Amino acid sequence: VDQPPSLTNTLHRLLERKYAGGSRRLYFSSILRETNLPSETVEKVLLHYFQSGDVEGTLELQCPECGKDLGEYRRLRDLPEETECFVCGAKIPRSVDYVELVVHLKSNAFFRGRKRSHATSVRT
Amino acid sequence: VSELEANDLDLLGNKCVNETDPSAKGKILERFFESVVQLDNDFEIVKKHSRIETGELDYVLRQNIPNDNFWSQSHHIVVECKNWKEPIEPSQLDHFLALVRTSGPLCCMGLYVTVSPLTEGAWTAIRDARLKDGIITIVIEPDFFSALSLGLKSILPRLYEKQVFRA
Repeated sequence: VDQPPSLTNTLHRLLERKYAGGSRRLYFSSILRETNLPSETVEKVLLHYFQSGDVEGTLELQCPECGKDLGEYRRLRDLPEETECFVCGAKIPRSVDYVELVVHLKSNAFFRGRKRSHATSVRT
Repeated sequence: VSELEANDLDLLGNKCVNETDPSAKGKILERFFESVVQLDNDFEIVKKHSRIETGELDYVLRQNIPNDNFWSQSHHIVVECKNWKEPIEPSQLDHFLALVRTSGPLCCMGLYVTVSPLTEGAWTAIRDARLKDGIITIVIEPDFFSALSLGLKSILPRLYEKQVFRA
Protein backbone atom coordinates (compact mmCIF):
# COMPACT_ATOMS: atom_id res chain seq x y z
CA VAL A 1 0.00 0.00 0.00
CA ASP A 2 2.87 2.39 0.76
CA GLN A 3 4.25 4.54 -2.04
CA PRO A 4 7.92 5.00 -2.86
CA PRO A 5 9.13 8.20 -1.13
CA SER A 6 10.38 9.63 -4.46
CA LEU A 7 6.76 9.84 -5.64
CA THR A 8 5.83 11.65 -2.45
CA ASN A 9 8.69 14.05 -3.08
CA THR A 10 7.42 14.82 -6.57
CA LEU A 11 4.10 15.94 -5.14
CA HIS A 12 5.73 17.78 -2.25
CA ARG A 13 7.92 19.76 -4.66
CA LEU A 14 4.92 20.75 -6.76
CA LEU A 15 3.03 22.04 -3.71
CA GLU A 16 6.10 23.90 -2.52
CA ARG A 17 6.60 25.53 -5.96
CA LYS A 18 2.94 26.50 -6.20
CA TYR A 19 2.90 28.01 -2.75
CA ALA A 20 6.08 29.99 -3.44
CA GLY A 21 4.46 31.24 -6.65
CA GLY A 22 1.45 32.54 -4.75
CA SER A 23 -1.04 29.75 -5.49
CA ARG A 24 -3.30 28.79 -2.64
CA ARG A 25 -5.81 26.58 -4.47
CA LEU A 26 -4.95 23.60 -6.65
CA TYR A 27 -7.29 21.27 -8.47
CA PHE A 28 -6.73 17.53 -8.13
CA SER A 29 -6.76 17.19 -11.92
CA SER A 30 -4.08 19.84 -12.34
CA ILE A 31 -1.92 18.07 -9.75
CA LEU A 32 -2.24 14.87 -11.78
CA ARG A 33 -1.35 16.71 -14.98
CA GLU A 34 1.64 18.50 -13.55
CA THR A 35 3.15 15.59 -11.63
CA ASN A 36 2.17 12.81 -14.01
CA LEU A 37 1.63 10.62 -10.95
CA PRO A 38 -1.10 7.97 -10.71
CA SER A 39 -4.23 9.24 -8.96
CA GLU A 40 -3.89 6.57 -6.26
CA THR A 41 -0.49 7.96 -5.29
CA VAL A 42 -1.69 11.55 -5.16
CA GLU A 43 -4.78 10.47 -3.21
CA LYS A 44 -2.69 8.68 -0.63
CA VAL A 45 -0.17 11.48 -0.13
CA LEU A 46 -2.93 14.10 0.08
CA LEU A 47 -4.67 11.99 2.72
CA HIS A 48 -1.50 12.19 4.77
CA TYR A 49 -1.31 15.96 4.33
CA PHE A 50 -4.97 16.38 5.27
CA GLN A 51 -4.50 14.30 8.41
CA SER A 52 -1.40 16.15 9.45
CA GLY A 53 -3.18 19.48 8.91
CA ASP A 54 -0.80 20.76 6.23
CA VAL A 55 -3.50 21.26 3.63
CA GLU A 56 -7.27 21.46 3.59
CA GLY A 57 -9.66 20.38 0.89
CA THR A 58 -13.05 21.27 -0.51
CA LEU A 59 -15.17 19.81 -3.26
CA GLU A 60 -16.36 21.68 -6.32
CA LEU A 61 -19.52 20.33 -7.89
CA GLN A 62 -19.53 20.57 -11.68
CA CYS A 63 -22.37 19.71 -14.03
CA PRO A 64 -21.29 16.68 -16.08
CA GLU A 65 -23.45 17.87 -19.01
CA CYS A 66 -22.60 21.56 -19.43
CA GLY A 67 -19.61 21.94 -17.10
CA LYS A 68 -21.22 24.69 -15.00
CA ASP A 69 -19.67 25.16 -11.57
CA LEU A 70 -22.50 24.51 -9.12
CA GLY A 71 -20.85 25.39 -5.83
CA GLU A 72 -18.19 24.40 -3.37
CA TYR A 73 -18.71 22.08 -0.40
CA ARG A 74 -16.69 21.27 2.68
CA ARG A 75 -17.51 17.55 2.61
CA LEU A 76 -19.03 15.04 0.24
CA ARG A 77 -21.75 14.52 2.80
CA ASP A 78 -22.75 18.20 2.57
CA LEU A 79 -23.87 17.82 -1.04
CA PRO A 80 -27.60 17.32 -1.62
CA GLU A 81 -28.55 13.79 -2.65
CA GLU A 82 -29.46 15.27 -6.01
CA THR A 83 -28.66 18.66 -7.56
CA GLU A 84 -30.40 20.12 -10.59
CA CYS A 85 -28.18 22.20 -12.84
CA PHE A 86 -29.75 25.64 -13.19
CA VAL A 87 -28.23 26.05 -16.65
CA CYS A 88 -29.05 22.83 -18.48
CA GLY A 89 -31.45 21.09 -16.07
CA ALA A 90 -29.32 17.96 -15.64
CA LYS A 91 -30.02 16.03 -12.46
CA ILE A 92 -26.76 15.21 -10.71
CA PRO A 93 -26.66 12.61 -7.92
CA ARG A 94 -24.26 13.03 -5.01
CA SER A 95 -21.22 11.11 -6.15
CA VAL A 96 -17.47 11.39 -6.05
CA ASP A 97 -17.64 11.17 -9.86
CA TYR A 98 -19.09 14.68 -10.18
CA VAL A 99 -16.91 16.64 -7.81
CA GLU A 100 -13.44 18.01 -8.19
CA LEU A 101 -11.16 17.99 -5.18
CA VAL A 102 -9.70 21.43 -4.49
CA VAL A 103 -6.53 21.46 -2.38
CA HIS A 104 -5.98 24.55 -0.24
CA LEU A 105 -2.41 25.27 0.77
CA LYS A 106 -2.81 26.71 4.25
CA SER A 107 0.53 28.26 5.12
CA ASN A 108 4.20 28.04 4.41
CA ALA A 109 4.64 26.19 7.72
CA PHE A 110 4.10 23.16 5.53
CA PHE A 111 7.39 23.76 3.74
CA ARG A 112 9.59 24.47 6.68
CA GLY A 113 11.15 22.64 9.59
CA ARG A 114 9.41 19.83 11.38
CA LYS A 115 7.13 18.51 8.66
CA ARG A 116 9.63 18.64 5.89
CA SER A 117 11.18 15.39 6.99
CA HIS A 118 8.14 13.46 5.75
CA ALA A 119 9.05 14.13 2.16
CA THR A 120 12.75 14.79 2.22
CA SER A 121 14.07 11.96 4.32
CA VAL A 122 15.19 10.09 1.23
CA ARG A 123 17.34 10.97 -1.72
CA THR A 124 15.62 11.65 -5.00
CA VAL B 1 -19.68 -15.52 0.07
CA SER B 2 -19.46 -19.30 0.16
CA GLU B 3 -20.29 -21.30 3.27
CA LEU B 4 -16.66 -22.32 3.56
CA GLU B 5 -15.48 -18.72 3.53
CA ALA B 6 -18.11 -17.76 6.09
CA ASN B 7 -16.93 -20.60 8.34
CA ASP B 8 -13.32 -19.54 7.91
CA LEU B 9 -14.21 -16.00 8.92
CA ASP B 10 -16.17 -17.30 11.90
CA LEU B 11 -13.19 -19.36 13.00
CA LEU B 12 -10.85 -16.41 12.62
CA GLY B 13 -13.26 -14.12 14.51
CA ASN B 14 -13.59 -16.63 17.36
CA LYS B 15 -9.85 -17.16 17.47
CA CYS B 16 -9.37 -13.44 17.81
CA VAL B 17 -11.88 -13.12 20.66
CA ASN B 18 -10.38 -16.08 22.55
CA GLU B 19 -6.70 -15.28 22.03
CA THR B 20 -5.02 -14.26 25.29
CA ASP B 21 -1.70 -12.93 23.98
CA PRO B 22 -2.30 -9.22 23.16
CA SER B 23 0.17 -9.09 20.28
CA ALA B 24 -1.22 -12.22 18.62
CA LYS B 25 -4.75 -10.96 19.24
CA GLY B 26 -3.98 -7.69 17.43
CA LYS B 27 -2.51 -9.51 14.45
CA ILE B 28 -5.45 -11.90 14.19
CA LEU B 29 -7.90 -9.01 14.43
CA GLU B 30 -6.21 -7.25 11.51
CA ARG B 31 -6.07 -10.46 9.49
CA PHE B 32 -9.75 -10.96 10.20
CA PHE B 33 -10.59 -7.42 9.11
CA GLU B 34 -8.52 -7.63 5.91
CA SER B 35 -10.31 -10.90 5.06
CA VAL B 36 -13.63 -9.11 5.49
CA VAL B 37 -12.53 -6.26 3.20
CA GLN B 38 -11.59 -8.78 0.52
CA LEU B 39 -15.15 -10.13 0.45
CA ASP B 40 -16.31 -7.03 -1.44
CA ASN B 41 -14.80 -5.82 -4.69
CA ASP B 42 -16.13 -2.36 -3.89
CA PHE B 43 -13.58 -1.74 -1.13
CA GLU B 44 -9.86 -1.21 -1.35
CA ILE B 45 -7.25 -0.48 1.30
CA VAL B 46 -5.64 2.87 0.45
CA LYS B 47 -3.42 3.22 3.51
CA LYS B 48 -2.30 0.80 6.17
CA HIS B 49 -0.40 1.37 9.40
CA SER B 50 0.49 4.98 8.71
CA ARG B 51 2.37 6.86 11.36
CA ILE B 52 1.08 10.42 11.53
CA GLU B 53 1.69 13.18 14.04
CA THR B 54 -1.25 12.32 16.26
CA GLY B 55 -0.51 8.60 16.39
CA GLU B 56 -0.99 5.53 14.27
CA LEU B 57 -3.71 4.98 11.73
CA ASP B 58 -4.70 1.36 11.05
CA TYR B 59 -6.42 1.64 7.66
CA VAL B 60 -8.06 4.00 5.22
CA LEU B 61 -10.45 2.28 2.82
CA ARG B 62 -11.78 3.61 -0.45
CA GLN B 63 -15.23 2.51 -1.57
CA ASN B 64 -16.75 2.79 -5.03
CA ILE B 65 -20.36 1.79 -4.53
CA PRO B 66 -22.54 3.59 -7.08
CA ASN B 67 -26.07 4.96 -6.71
CA ASP B 68 -26.45 4.53 -2.97
CA ASN B 69 -27.37 7.40 -0.67
CA PHE B 70 -25.64 5.89 2.34
CA TRP B 71 -22.34 5.18 0.62
CA SER B 72 -22.31 8.39 -1.42
CA GLN B 73 -21.65 10.32 1.81
CA SER B 74 -18.06 9.16 2.20
CA HIS B 75 -15.57 7.93 -0.38
CA HIS B 76 -12.94 7.17 2.26
CA ILE B 77 -13.43 5.25 5.51
CA VAL B 78 -10.99 5.46 8.42
CA VAL B 79 -10.63 2.15 10.28
CA GLU B 80 -9.26 1.33 13.70
CA CYS B 81 -8.87 -2.23 14.98
CA LYS B 82 -8.75 -2.26 18.78
CA ASN B 83 -7.71 -5.31 20.77
CA TRP B 84 -7.99 -3.87 24.26
CA LYS B 85 -9.06 -5.98 27.22
CA GLU B 86 -10.90 -3.18 29.00
CA PRO B 87 -14.08 -1.42 27.81
CA ILE B 88 -13.47 1.51 25.46
CA GLU B 89 -13.69 4.90 27.16
CA PRO B 90 -14.46 8.20 25.37
CA SER B 91 -10.83 9.34 25.69
CA GLN B 92 -9.73 6.34 23.64
CA LEU B 93 -12.03 7.41 20.83
CA ASP B 94 -10.67 10.96 20.65
CA HIS B 95 -7.75 10.13 18.35
CA PHE B 96 -9.96 8.04 16.08
CA LEU B 97 -12.69 10.69 15.78
CA ALA B 98 -10.07 13.37 15.11
CA LEU B 99 -8.66 11.28 12.28
CA VAL B 100 -12.06 10.91 10.66
CA ARG B 101 -12.66 14.64 11.08
CA THR B 102 -9.35 15.58 9.43
CA SER B 103 -9.17 13.06 6.61
CA GLY B 104 -10.27 15.46 3.92
CA PRO B 105 -13.53 16.35 2.20
CA LEU B 106 -14.09 12.86 0.83
CA CYS B 107 -14.26 11.34 4.31
CA CYS B 108 -16.84 11.51 7.07
CA MET B 109 -17.03 7.84 8.04
CA GLY B 110 -15.12 5.73 10.53
CA LEU B 111 -15.20 2.05 11.35
CA TYR B 112 -14.21 0.98 14.85
CA VAL B 113 -13.55 -2.76 15.12
CA THR B 114 -13.13 -3.76 18.74
CA VAL B 115 -12.90 -6.93 20.80
CA SER B 116 -14.08 -5.12 23.93
CA PRO B 117 -17.36 -3.27 24.40
CA LEU B 118 -17.80 0.51 24.45
CA THR B 119 -18.81 2.30 27.62
CA GLU B 120 -21.94 4.46 27.59
CA GLY B 121 -19.66 7.49 27.58
CA ALA B 122 -17.98 6.26 24.40
CA TRP B 123 -21.35 5.82 22.69
CA THR B 124 -22.21 9.36 23.72
CA ALA B 125 -18.95 10.66 22.21
CA ILE B 126 -19.86 8.93 18.94
CA ARG B 127 -23.33 10.42 18.97
CA ASP B 128 -21.97 13.91 19.72
CA ALA B 129 -19.46 13.68 16.84
CA ARG B 130 -22.33 12.74 14.53
CA LEU B 131 -24.56 15.59 15.68
CA LYS B 132 -21.87 18.27 15.86
CA ASP B 133 -19.59 17.39 12.95
CA GLY B 134 -21.57 14.92 10.83
CA ILE B 135 -19.08 12.15 11.59
CA ILE B 136 -20.51 8.68 10.95
CA THR B 137 -18.97 6.05 13.22
CA ILE B 138 -19.87 2.40 12.94
CA VAL B 139 -18.76 0.10 15.73
CA ILE B 140 -18.18 -3.59 15.18
CA GLU B 141 -18.12 -5.54 18.42
CA PRO B 142 -17.48 -9.32 18.64
CA ASP B 143 -21.22 -10.08 18.61
CA PHE B 144 -21.27 -8.86 15.01
CA PHE B 145 -18.06 -10.48 13.78
CA SER B 146 -19.95 -13.39 12.22
CA ALA B 147 -22.35 -10.99 10.47
CA LEU B 148 -19.38 -9.50 8.63
CA SER B 149 -19.39 -12.51 6.33
CA LEU B 150 -22.25 -10.67 4.57
CA GLY B 151 -19.65 -8.12 3.46
CA LEU B 152 -19.13 -4.51 4.49
CA LYS B 153 -21.35 -3.10 1.75
CA SER B 154 -24.35 -4.93 3.11
CA ILE B 155 -23.78 -4.97 6.84
CA LEU B 156 -22.44 -1.47 7.61
CA PRO B 157 -25.58 0.52 6.66
CA ARG B 158 -27.66 -1.86 8.80
CA LEU B 159 -25.29 -1.64 11.74
CA TYR B 160 -25.19 2.14 11.48
CA GLU B 161 -28.97 2.38 11.56
CA LYS B 162 -29.13 0.04 14.53
CA GLN B 163 -26.49 2.06 16.41
CA VAL B 164 -28.02 5.45 15.67
CA PHE B 165 -31.35 4.31 17.05
CA ARG B 166 -29.99 2.25 19.94
CA ALA B 167 -31.83 2.77 23.18
